[in-house]
Formats: sequence, structure tokens, C-alpha cells
Amino acid sequence: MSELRQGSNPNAATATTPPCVFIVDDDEPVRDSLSLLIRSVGYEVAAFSSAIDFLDAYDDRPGCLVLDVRMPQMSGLDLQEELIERRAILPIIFMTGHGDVPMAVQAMRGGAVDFLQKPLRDQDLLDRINEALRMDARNRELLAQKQETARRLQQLTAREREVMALVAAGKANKVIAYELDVSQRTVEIHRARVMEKMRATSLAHLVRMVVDVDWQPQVQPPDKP
Amino acid sequence: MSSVRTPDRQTADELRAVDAELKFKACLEAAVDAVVVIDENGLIEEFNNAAQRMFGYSFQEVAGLNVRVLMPSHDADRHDRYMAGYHETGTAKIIGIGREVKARRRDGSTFPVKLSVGEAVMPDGIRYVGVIHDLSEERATEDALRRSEAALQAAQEVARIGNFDLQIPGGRGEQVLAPQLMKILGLPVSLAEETAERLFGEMVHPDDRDRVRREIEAAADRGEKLDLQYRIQRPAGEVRTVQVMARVTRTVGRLRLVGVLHDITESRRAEEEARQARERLTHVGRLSTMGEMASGLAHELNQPLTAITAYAQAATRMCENEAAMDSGELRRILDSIASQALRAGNVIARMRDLVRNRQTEREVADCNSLVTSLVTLAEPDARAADVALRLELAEGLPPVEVDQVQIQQVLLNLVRNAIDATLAADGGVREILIRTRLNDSRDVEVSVADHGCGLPHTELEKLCTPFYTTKREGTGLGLSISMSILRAHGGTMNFANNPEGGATVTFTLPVKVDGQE
Repeated sequence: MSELRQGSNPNAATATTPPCVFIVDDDEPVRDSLSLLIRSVGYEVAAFSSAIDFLDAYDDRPGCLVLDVRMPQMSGLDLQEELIERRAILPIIFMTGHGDVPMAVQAMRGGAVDFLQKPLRDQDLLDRINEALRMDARNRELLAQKQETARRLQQLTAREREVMALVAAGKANKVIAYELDVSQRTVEIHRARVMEKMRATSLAHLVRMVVDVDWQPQVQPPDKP
Repeated sequence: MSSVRTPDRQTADELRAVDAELKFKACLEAAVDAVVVIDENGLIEEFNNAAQRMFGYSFQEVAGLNVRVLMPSHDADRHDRYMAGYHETGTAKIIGIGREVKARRRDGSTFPVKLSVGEAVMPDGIRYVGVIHDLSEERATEDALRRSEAALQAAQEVARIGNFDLQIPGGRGEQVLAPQLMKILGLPVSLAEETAERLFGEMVHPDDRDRVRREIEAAADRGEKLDLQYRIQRPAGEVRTVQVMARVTRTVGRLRLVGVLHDITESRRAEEEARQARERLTHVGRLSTMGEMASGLAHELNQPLTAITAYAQAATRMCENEAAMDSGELRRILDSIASQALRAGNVIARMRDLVRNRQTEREVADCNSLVTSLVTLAEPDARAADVALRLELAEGLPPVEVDQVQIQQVLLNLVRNAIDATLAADGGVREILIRTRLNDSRDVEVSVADHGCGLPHTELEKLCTPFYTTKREGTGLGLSISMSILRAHGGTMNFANNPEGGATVTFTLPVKVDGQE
């Protein structure tokens, strides 16, 4: 089980808080027993008796959500929708006593890790939690990278962005110099600044960063006299 | 016959004879019945006033005529043969006996008479004296009586009712048991007299005998009408259910019972069949309600099972890792497992109560506790729909005598309807109010009020029709079964829309009356 503990936090560089398994079920004994089970393998656990209580308390902490479908006031599926709305990326493992197909389809379409039938087999649940936490960590890493890329993009000047867009489009310095109506040397200087500010190790690296953040270059129409 | 007499003596004899003749004539004329005297040839000699009135002939008209004129032709021929036969053999067919024959009036019409004939031996030959009593009126009365008795008997036969008027103990000639009554008992009519005392004794089914005896004594003591149902056993062993209504009076050590006995075996059987059909329908309804509730109950059952599974798995993991071993925590886990298993058992018990197909069992019950235990059954549904169940239970309600499962089924149905209506309304107060109270007619009243979508006014009368439904997934059986359950309990059900929105369904249950069985 120590392996799981190690695996629970594969990327210490991007996530400073240890992940937490959130349980939302309106039934106290179910919450209590699942908490015991999940804690027994070393995860941190936080249990809530309703979707609303969870939403009030949740602060985007890394982890995953073990969620009962059938609950009063706000169902598990409602909570999933709300989290999507709030752009939370927490992976969800659904549990249900009487899962029907449309329910499962809706849950999986919403990005659920799995739709487990109650009562649960412990290994199934723990495997899914493990998987969900890895997914969450990876998602958070990607998110962090995107945020970093976006931050670096912010540091570029308008001219540097123009040059980067054309570089990413695979154009040669000569062509870029002609299109921007500057000297080739100037293009070379801008290009070097871009690579430095973006901390790109190669042209391919730069291109991947631009694609990852889905950056849309706003290229000025060539302003030729 | 001839004798020698002195003249004096002869005169005196003659005078006496004339006197006797006069007296005889006077007697004849005074007689109420017709008197006809004929000679040995059948010729009429005397024909008194009553005879003249009866037959419509004057004496002059019939004097010297053969008596045949007073008889229908068929009888007249026989009469000739009788006379001849009598003369030859001396065998009397009518003389000194009297019989009922037909007579013929002057106008040819015939009528029943009682004829008695005497024979007189006179000095100048034999005379036959016929005394004729007109039976027309008696016959008419008898016919009327016979007809009315026949009508009564036919009516009794159709209605399976037999009347009786009997004494216990009683002697011969004092007991009246109608033929139909004997038929119900499976006994020949000729045994009526002997049967009278056994009617409320040996004929009664052994299990009912004491009760029948007690009820008769009680009715006699209180001077009240007897009205009771019991079983009788026919001599052949067949059992019939009868209802007896009678006036019972007691006079020095004797009981007199006057009344009727009604064979209700068939109508009882029909009632029983109707009751069974109703129970089968109720069972079907319960099963369909079950189906609708199945998902809710599966959830209810899965929760404790989920907890048990997870507790046990957590405990196993704890045992595998000595460092994590905590006997206090382990003990708590085991306690939780036990209580969750009991919780699952309770869910199953509730399901079983609902599904079991069983005989109707009337028990004395407290309406409030019926409502309270129903609420635990409906709670999961209500919770899932986010509807609160609120109770307003009147204190000190008299007990009702009901089949608890059936009444709970009615209530569950109404609460589920109310939940559906609340969901359909989408907004408004999410609360269902269940009230109990004693109404003005002193019946226990239970009402279920919601703030839901209300009832469609135009379709109120259709609500209790089987298979009529306003819900997409309803069976349309809920209310019709509820209605039939309530009817069987002597209760009623009413629907109304609330002025502030939503609907209230009210049903009543008659209060159990003490001493009523």
C-alpha cells in the first residue's frame, strides 16, 4: 500500500497540498465505512452528507470525488454538472444502488472515471481512486503548464508575438522579414527574445507550447506603404 | 206390519200419526241443510225449503221425479248402479257414511255438497233420506287459503325463507314449521313437529350451538328481537348458513319463537367470492406499487449493504497491518456491521409485509400509529423527492378495526400521489401534511394534503376508475384499489383541491363500537 501513497503524489513540483478523497453520500454509515476503508490505504479523506455541503467547502484542492448518485435536494449528477460549470477538474467516481443505463451514460459523458454498483468491491474502488488521483495530478500538471505558458506569453511584446506566430507557422526568417517589412537581422533578434522569454529549448518545443494553450495569434495585416 | 186394532185405538193411532207427520214436516222445513226423501226407486217424495233454495226447484217440480235430476249426469248414472247394487247385495256405499259429491242446480250448474244418506224402513216400503250440505262457500274459502298458502310457499322457496312458530318444550299441534323451512333443513315435511325443538339445538352446527343458545336466552330476557346468523348441519352432513329473525317470548318455563329462517349460504358464498376477488386485486395493486417502489427500496437495501461491505473490508485491511491494529476501532467497526445488517433486515421485513398475499385480518388499531409507521415506509421516497412529511395527529382518537396492511397501502398510495403531484408542480411548498382527527360524524378521518399540481376538475369522477391514470408511468390502479379497500372497511374517500393550491385527499374509517363483533 505504500506504493499507493507514493503514487498519490507523482508530481510534487506542481501540487503542494496532498490529495484528498472526497466522499459525498447522504447515508452516515456509508460515509463512515468508506472513510475507514479509504483511510486504511493511507489517503486523506473528507466526507460530506450533501452535495451542497461539499460545494460550500470545496476549495479546488487536488484529489477525487466518490459520489452517490441518489441524494435529496441535489443529486450526484447535478453536482457533476455544477462542477463542470465551475470549471473544476476534480475526477468523479459515481456509486449507485440502482444504476440505469441513461444515468451511467450521462455520468460518463460528463467525464466520470467510473460508475460503480453498490455494494462496492474494495479493490475496484481503490483502483478507481488510484486512477482518479493520477488523472487529477496529470490534469493539474497540464493545467499548471498551460498557465505558465500563458504567463510567459504575457511577457512578449506585440512585435515578438507577431514574429512568434510566423515562426510557429513554419516561415523562414527571410520570409518573415519581408512580410513584416523589417530586416532579417531584426527578425533574428525578436526570434531569440521569444525563445528566451518562452523558455523554449527548440522550435518544436515552442510550437507545442503554442498549440497546448490554444493560442490564437492576432497578426496585424501587413502594413505596406 | 198389519195388526188388529180396536177402532178407538185406531183413531188415537191415526191422530198420533198425523201429529207426527206434522212435526216431521215442521222439522224438515226448519232444517238448515237440504233434505230430500226418495223411495226405493229413487223417486223424490220430500224436498224441503232448504233443498228448494239450494237447487232452485219447487217441491211440485221435483215431486215424483227421479233424484237423478239433482246430480250431474255422470254421477246420476253411477247413482243408478249404486241403488241397484245396494238392493242386490246390501253393500252400502254411502248410507250411514256420508261423502262429498257434486250436485246440480236447476240451471244446470254444479256445486260441491256433503251428502249423508240414511235409510228408513216404513210400513209401505223403504225410504232414503238424504241430507245435503252446500260446501260452495267452504270450498271457496279453502281454495283461497290453499292458493295463498301456495303463493306463500312459492315465495318462500324463491327467497329461501321458511317461517316458524314453535315452543320449546312444545307438544304436538303446537309447532309450525313451513315446508320451505324443512326443505332448508334437508328434512321431509312430515317431520316438522319432531324437528321444532331440534331447530335451535341438534340441528345447529356444534361450533355455533352455545352462541345460538346464549343469544336466544338473551333475546328472551331483554324482550328484543332475535337476529343472528349461524350454521346448521343437515342430517346428510351438509352445512348451510342461515339467518334467523324471530320474536322470542318466555312463559313459565317455555320459550316461544315466532319468525323466519333465511338460507344465506349462496349469498354468503357470493360475498366471499367478491371479497376474494377484491383481495386478489389488492394484491396485484400491492405488487404494482411494489414495482414502483422497487428502485427506492433497492437503494434503501443497498445503503446498509454498502456500509457492511466497506466496514468489513476496512477491518480486514486493519488486521493485515499490525501497526495499524486498533482493537477499540475494530470493535466499533464490528458493532457498526451488526447494526447495518439489522437495518437491512428491517427493510426486507417491510418489503415482505407489503408483498405478502394474505387473508384480510381485522385488528383493533390506533390510527395514529398506523400513520406513524407508514411514514417510515414513505420516508425514502419523500426524501429522494426532497419533500417533507409533516404530521398533525389528533390525540385520544378512538380505536378503529381495520386490516392494517391494507390501510397502510391506501395511505402509502396517497402519500406517493402527493409526492408525484409536488414534483409535477415544480415549485411551491415542498411539504405534505398528514392529519388525523375525529370528524363530525364521529368517524376517524385521515387526510393527506399537498401543495402540488392539484386535481383536474373535469376528471374527478374518473379518479377511482381502474386503469385511469394521469401519470406517465402509473398503473391506474392505486386509487381504485384504495377505494375498494375503504369500502370494504365501511369508510369513504373524498378529493378536493385546496384554495391555496394543491389537493387534499381525505378518507374515513368507522370507529370500532364496543361489543360489536
